Amino acid sequence: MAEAEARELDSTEREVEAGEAPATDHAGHPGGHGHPPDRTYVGVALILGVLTAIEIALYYFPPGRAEVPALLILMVIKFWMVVMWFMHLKFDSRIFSRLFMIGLALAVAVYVITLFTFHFWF
Amino acid sequence: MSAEVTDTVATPGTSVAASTTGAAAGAHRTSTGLSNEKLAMWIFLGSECLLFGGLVSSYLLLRRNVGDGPGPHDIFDIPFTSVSSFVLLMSSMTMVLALSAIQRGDLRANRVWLCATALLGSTFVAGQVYEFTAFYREGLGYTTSVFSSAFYTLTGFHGVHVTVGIVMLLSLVVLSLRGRLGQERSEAVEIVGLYWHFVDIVWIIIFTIVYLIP
Repeated sequence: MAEAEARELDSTEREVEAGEAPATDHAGHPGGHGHPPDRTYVGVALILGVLTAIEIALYYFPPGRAEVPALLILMVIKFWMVVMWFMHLKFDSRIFSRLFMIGLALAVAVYVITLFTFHFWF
Repeated sequence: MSAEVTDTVATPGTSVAASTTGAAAGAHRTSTGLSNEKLAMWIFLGSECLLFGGLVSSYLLLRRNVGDGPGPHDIFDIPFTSVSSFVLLMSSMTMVLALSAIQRGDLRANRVWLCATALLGSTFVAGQVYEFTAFYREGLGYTTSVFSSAFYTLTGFHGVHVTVGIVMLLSLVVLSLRGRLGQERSEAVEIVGLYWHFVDIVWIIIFTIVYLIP
């Protein structure tokens, strides 16, 4: 029992040393690095606002066939910025990222297949 | 680091240590070294991706079936929805500022930012209610067409999520006013924040796919 725990602990330790499970956040909770200063969050919010304004501009002044890809790219950038900065995945343990990405990837895979099944794309 | 970690498994039968550094001494011990509550929230959010993925893909499949009712671009008010989207984006900023405040021990600023987030969220929900009412008056009821059912179900589910988030935010404010939400419990704010930001990213997707893409 103790040996098994020691093995598990060795694995945890290796993960920590490899940057997999960061130490603590401000409150001393495990699994989080120190977070950026407030001005960084304000900056991220401003960028998100600008990206939203670009999206709306693209809606009113569509650049032909590039409209849909451009909107999708902007959507992904906004999604990524909120997840990385506001949800702190950039600073937190990679285990959290993996758990979320598993759900996201599963959802995308399942529903893209569904859309193919119903001939959505053609 | 090795010595710090090894110390924590001195007693056989106990769980493997959560703390990986001395700084985490006050934290709960878990077998992963991570907060169980936070881990649970991330797993929940991963499962929510499947829920909203299903609703979004259903909408994509059904949006052309407008029947005799108005179609998406006959009724959407893009300037109004754009303002709502901006409001929700800014609520994510105030949420993360609330977390930052409690993590540095500024409880008053924490309450102010939590209230601001709840207010912005309420503004968004009020906008959604107004939008639904306007659509209904223009002849788009829930059962008018397959498109309308898919649209109301998707955006309605999101609105319910925002409403639940507002209730959680106000609960945090009440806890804080009663002195039960100090710096040492900042993780509660972080977990509610994760939920709130998730609701925001879902709207980022809905706004683009439902409203903007022709």
